[in-house]
Amino acid sequence: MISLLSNCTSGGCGAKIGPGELSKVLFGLPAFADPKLLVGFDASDDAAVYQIDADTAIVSTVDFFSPMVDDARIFGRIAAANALSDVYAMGGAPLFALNLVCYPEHMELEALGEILSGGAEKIQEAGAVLCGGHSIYDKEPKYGLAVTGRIDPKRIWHNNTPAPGDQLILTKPLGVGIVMAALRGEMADEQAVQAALYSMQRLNKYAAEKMQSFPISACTDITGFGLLAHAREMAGEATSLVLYPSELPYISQACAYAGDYLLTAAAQRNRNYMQGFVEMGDTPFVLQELMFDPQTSGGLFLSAPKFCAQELLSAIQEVEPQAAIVGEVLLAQDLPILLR
Amino acid sequence: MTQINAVGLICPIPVIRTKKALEGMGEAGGVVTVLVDNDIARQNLQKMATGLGYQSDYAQKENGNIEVTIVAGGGCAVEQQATEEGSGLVVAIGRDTMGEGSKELGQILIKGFIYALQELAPPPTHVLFFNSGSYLTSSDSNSLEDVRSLAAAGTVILTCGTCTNYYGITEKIGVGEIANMYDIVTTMAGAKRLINL
Repeated sequence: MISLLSNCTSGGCGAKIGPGELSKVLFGLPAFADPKLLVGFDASDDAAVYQIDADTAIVSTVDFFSPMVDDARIFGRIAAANALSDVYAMGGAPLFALNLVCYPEHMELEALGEILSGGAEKIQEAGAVLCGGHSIYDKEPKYGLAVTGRIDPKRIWHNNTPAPGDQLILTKPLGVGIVMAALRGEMADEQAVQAALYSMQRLNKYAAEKMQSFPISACTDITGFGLLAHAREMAGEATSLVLYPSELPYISQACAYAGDYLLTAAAQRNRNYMQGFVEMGDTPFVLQELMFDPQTSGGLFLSAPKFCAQELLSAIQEVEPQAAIVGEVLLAQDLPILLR
Repeated sequence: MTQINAVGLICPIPVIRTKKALEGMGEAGGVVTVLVDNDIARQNLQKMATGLGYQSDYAQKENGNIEVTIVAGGGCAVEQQATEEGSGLVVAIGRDTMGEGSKELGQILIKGFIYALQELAPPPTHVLFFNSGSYLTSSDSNSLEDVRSLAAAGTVILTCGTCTNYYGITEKIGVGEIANMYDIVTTMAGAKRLINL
């Protein structure tokens, strides 16, 4: 098989433009005002939500990146799972998807077929339909989806509306960025790689479906910005999030790799971005790195009232056994994130 | 010195190559310089160096490249500092007390002296221990932690091997290196300033 990675300078969500850099340019764009636009990009939420009528809104998102794995079909699945995830993180259900494809002219088309097949598998699994797409030549292969879903406008899970007293749940293990970095350095063991690949291909559909019967204060999905950046976004101005580093779910080998400094550039960018917003306490270095680790197709990170958090966790654990309560929500403190 | 060109390589590859080079130097330590093309790689390298307890520094080079220097082990750090800008100060300690008079007082004073020494900035390039001074680097010494702080600050700690053999404490030396008389003589001869105690 041809090597997808040899064509890439960076892959997966680690290739995202840094959160600090991005906000510098987004700031300069006009704010579009339309009362039907329930969630726009000014909220830095996961997807846009546009109201159609009293009971129906559409949720729309787009996501694509270059390969972070060599296997074309797995890459396709990961890219699609990642793109679909934003719909789930808002509380919606995907309806249809369009392929976005960039592909080198000189590369064999067979691999592209594999990528698209992998993506189509995930669209099917999501219960959505593939209805077209757009493809161009590019130096590096890239793939993703534009996804449109349906959502109840009265039940939108915003990413920055947790309530003090809530508990925080993370549905997937952290560490996929570290494991893929170890793989790049040819220092990862097979079991860790399989765990990371499984996690990245896993749709957030199943956790989101369990969440539908519970009150959810806030929800987002973890991306290349890492857990802490999303936690900061969730905390907003009104609350601070306490995270329990010792409770975090992670791919077990990731800690050892972090201890060996198998770290991505994205994790360091995330660390720089979060400087001054996190009270690290005496959190060990490796756990810090897990929280800065860029996640490709990461899990859902959600805030739910304490009275039902344990029950919700149990429900989610039926489909995501590694899910855990990883923190709680306080009224705003000196810093948006405290580690205890 | 080992040089690594990591221009065009993305993390964690520069870190992995550097770590392998550092590990390849073994106990003796040494200097690794790594050329990288972005500041994030520089930060990751220094994060590793700090985590492993090594000193590091960096300098901007042409084409936006950055050269990171990591010093593993005490020896090389100070050889460089001595030739470049270090204090050039060598302290030779030939006894386990300070000054003439009460032995008990002398022991209190030598402990205070070594403690004060490790507060000195820049630190001495070398501290030499010989004759009964050898006891000060052994596990029986109540100055051992202070001597270790000196070593951590980059000071080379040398203890006379003939002396540790004579006193039967070679196995107890808890910091720095065992040195022969040739090492001691060349270190003293190379000193810009020498304090003899």
